[in-house]
Amino acid sequence: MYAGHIGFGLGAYSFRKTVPLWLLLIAAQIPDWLDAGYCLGNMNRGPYGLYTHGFIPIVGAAVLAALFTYLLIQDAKGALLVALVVVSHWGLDYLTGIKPTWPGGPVVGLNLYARPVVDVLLESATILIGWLLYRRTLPQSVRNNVWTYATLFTLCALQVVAGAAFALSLGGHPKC
Amino acid sequence: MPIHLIKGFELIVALLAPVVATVYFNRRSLAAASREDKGQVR
Repeated sequence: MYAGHIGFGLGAYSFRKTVPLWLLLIAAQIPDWLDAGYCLGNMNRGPYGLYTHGFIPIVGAAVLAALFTYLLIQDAKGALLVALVVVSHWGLDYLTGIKPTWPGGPVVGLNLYARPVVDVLLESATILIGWLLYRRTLPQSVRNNVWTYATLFTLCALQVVAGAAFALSLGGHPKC
Repeated sequence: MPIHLIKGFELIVALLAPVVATVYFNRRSLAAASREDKGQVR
């Protein structure tokens, strides 16, 4: 999943506005940021990305992100929310890809990437639901503002571009 | 430039794009709301 993670982070923001929006969005992407780090370091991400998308790294990242959040805002519920957003990454990726579990464990997933149209629809729906929740956090006067709608349309547009690139195999090769 | 660096930077750009856009639009929305509160925007 790509922009759908951002949609999830947007939705989570509506439950705890004490947590900075940027932090929830980054938290939703953390395993992919680990991928980027492994890429830059030219390191092996393990079978099916076990070292970045397996249960162990995701739970570890969730704990660290929660601690960081607590240090930043002194809000235990906010820190818990960030941890849940990190863990959500695996669940959402389960829908779109094939993901590792634990060392020696099965690889699982619905692999909707193989059905690009379904994938784009699912991710767009995730973005829409998250955006609707996020929109409720904004003052009434700007809920129909051009910038508010720009969020929705930009995320959906990015998803369509990413989905098209993936379907055309431009991004269908391994991440690194 | 080594391929792993290129792909790593590609991934970073792809990850940053939706975050930067979303935070930017959020700030513009909140700035617009602030202006309306002050009665500077009709």
